[in-house]
Amino acid sequence: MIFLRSCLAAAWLNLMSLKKRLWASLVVVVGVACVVAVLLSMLSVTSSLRHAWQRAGSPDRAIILPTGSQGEGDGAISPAQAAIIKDAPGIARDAKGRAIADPEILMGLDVRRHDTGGYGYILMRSFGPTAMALRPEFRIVAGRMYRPGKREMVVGAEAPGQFQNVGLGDKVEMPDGPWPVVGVFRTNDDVVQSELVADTDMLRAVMRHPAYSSVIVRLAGADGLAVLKRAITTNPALQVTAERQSDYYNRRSAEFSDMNDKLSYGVSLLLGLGALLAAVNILYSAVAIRRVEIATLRALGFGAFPVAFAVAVEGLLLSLTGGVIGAAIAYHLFDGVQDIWYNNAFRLAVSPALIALGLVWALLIGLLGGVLPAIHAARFPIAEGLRAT
Amino acid sequence: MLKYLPLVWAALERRTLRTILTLLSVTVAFTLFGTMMGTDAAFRRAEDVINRRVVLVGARFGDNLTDGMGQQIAAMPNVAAVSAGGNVFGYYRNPKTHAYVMMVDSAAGWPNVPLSKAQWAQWQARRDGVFLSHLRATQWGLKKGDIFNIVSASVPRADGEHAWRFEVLDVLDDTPYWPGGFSFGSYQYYRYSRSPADQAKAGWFQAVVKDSARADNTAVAIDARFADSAIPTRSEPEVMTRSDAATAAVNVAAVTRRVALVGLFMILLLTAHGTAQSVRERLSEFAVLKTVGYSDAGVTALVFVEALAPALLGAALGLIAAALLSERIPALLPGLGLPEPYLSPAVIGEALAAVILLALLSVVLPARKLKRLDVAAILAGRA
Repeated sequence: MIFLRSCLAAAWLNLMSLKKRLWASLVVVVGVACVVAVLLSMLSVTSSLRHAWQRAGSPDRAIILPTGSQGEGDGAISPAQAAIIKDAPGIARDAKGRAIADPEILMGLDVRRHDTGGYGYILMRSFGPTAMALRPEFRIVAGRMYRPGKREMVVGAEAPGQFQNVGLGDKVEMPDGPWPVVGVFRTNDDVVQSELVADTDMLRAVMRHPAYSSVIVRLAGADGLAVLKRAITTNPALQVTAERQSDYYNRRSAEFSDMNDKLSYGVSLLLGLGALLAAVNILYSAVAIRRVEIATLRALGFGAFPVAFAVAVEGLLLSLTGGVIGAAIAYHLFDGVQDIWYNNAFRLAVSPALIALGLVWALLIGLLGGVLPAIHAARFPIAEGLRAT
Repeated sequence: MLKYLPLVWAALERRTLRTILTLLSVTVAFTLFGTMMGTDAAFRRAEDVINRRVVLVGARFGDNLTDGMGQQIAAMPNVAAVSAGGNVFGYYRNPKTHAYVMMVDSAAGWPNVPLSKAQWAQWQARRDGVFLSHLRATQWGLKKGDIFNIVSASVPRADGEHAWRFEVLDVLDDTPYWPGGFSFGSYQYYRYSRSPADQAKAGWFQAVVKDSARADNTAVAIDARFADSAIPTRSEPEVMTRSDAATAAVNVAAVTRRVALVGLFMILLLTAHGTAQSVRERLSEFAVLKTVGYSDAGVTALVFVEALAPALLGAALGLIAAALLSERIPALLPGLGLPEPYLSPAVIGEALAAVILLALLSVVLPARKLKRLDVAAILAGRA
């Protein structure tokens, strides 16, 4: 108990003297704030994009792609193959007994971007007759849904912020002339929300697109996927693979997010090392400045540990303060801001999990930065310190 | 100047630990600065070397340009040569390893391909041959003479297979033109491996113009010619396509510069604090120096050199570390298409300027203090 009290007392005395070392302390605080702000802003890009991809996938749906295809838009499924797939077992059926499954087309359209003014690709997706049963997350938030068989389209809520002339009321140039954008939709803040959507049959006709990119199906029951897979992979008329849609989006998002995470951590690690060295430097000089005070404490009977503890606590508190400031800066600058990655427009989120990660980094820097100076303080010769007066 | 050196050395040596720690953090900061600004420089260099005579022509909707369109473009004013191109893209070995080979047609239409006449001629003997750059060969783990497959679902072959077989003809040096590395194959292989119906379809055309100043107009003219055809085109000088592509994913320039600046800012605070503290601790020494006749400027210069010396050394070490790290970056982060950071003279110049600015800014406040030094009071022990 006495030990604990002396630890706390030493730490308290130490913190009381912080005001005198304000500028030095600020170096640690600002350094750690920089590290955490950079870490969180870089990681928030990857994690927000990854979440936007993952939200697009539902475990209740499966995506059927041509064998060897990496993703939608890569490879082709013919109308004949699509018809065979829709008849396969394992697919949920609606009240009328129709399979809840639609072939979809996914293609890029040239439009200009707001940020650079240069060309970018917006993705255009096509929906079939069972789209609403297939995608319950889809809802129109402005205007109306396109009418099947008409030259019209609807736009995802995130797209107009990044691409020019794709907003409600705008006209998008198609091979047979401009099609009006008649509505705005949301799909649970996923990547589809930055795409254009039109009717599959209309799109096929005008694009002279003989084939589909994928078939999306709603799975029937728990073993739906296994049943479906068995049926379509053993059918010699089909060269396709079926994958749970949530797995598909997880897999695809890992393709970019693993690398980007590596980059973010690499950069932050270097910056963090710089801040760590700065913290060690500052805490060492703090101990040097307080050598008389420390020696006096020791002479009064404080043990070596409470003195070391006080230095470590200072390091932790300073870097934690820096971490909080850094997280606040990242949150203020980036949370909710729209960003774009090729053709995926999405909102950045500096989530609680990310902030917690930033604070862990701050604590680690404080902890590692404080160790050596704390040991130094504890082993400080008392007599020498007192003589310094 | 030389008379200062022993004084500077003495001051730095007296606080060895602090000097070493400062040196290390400056080193780390400039490692970051070097790699970040070097990446930025590599991207900018890639844009600078772009051949401004190349105009890329693609299909506005879908990917079905025909040979006949190429002939029409070749007959247009300001067009010197037209050549077809296509990409075989898919994956190599692991579905996660995206891979592509750019299939190129003829030297006249591909001035941006760094191959000699003899190398172009090699394709006559080996149609499925490819030339890889060192970077690409490292990413894919291939060497000269190796045979490999790219599995592609999007470029259908006449034989119904998904695998495109290639043989590595040679591994060549990387060039700034292709910062992410290159892999070139023969368009003839691409053409004749596809079904007869597909053979007349090109992925895109490269039009080489006679007058690069009118490249934009030529691109507009090409698009106008096909605007009302069954296959409208979208043409753009290659230099524009490249700058659009550079910002498509992340605006690398903006990100790298910001991170480099944040790192410098951190170090500025640290060196400024270190200098201020060192001056505070040695006020009496400076008072003595002033008493024996050192001018204000002389004393300030002394402090400046004290701040500059470790910063300069740290920056040099940091840039060396950055250079060593740079060689590994494309291999450490394949898939991101990052170029090898290029520590151009400009980047080294910026680093030098940053170091001097760093030292200057660190000296501003201590210099004011030294100027107003009450020498008498300090020497008398009253301050």
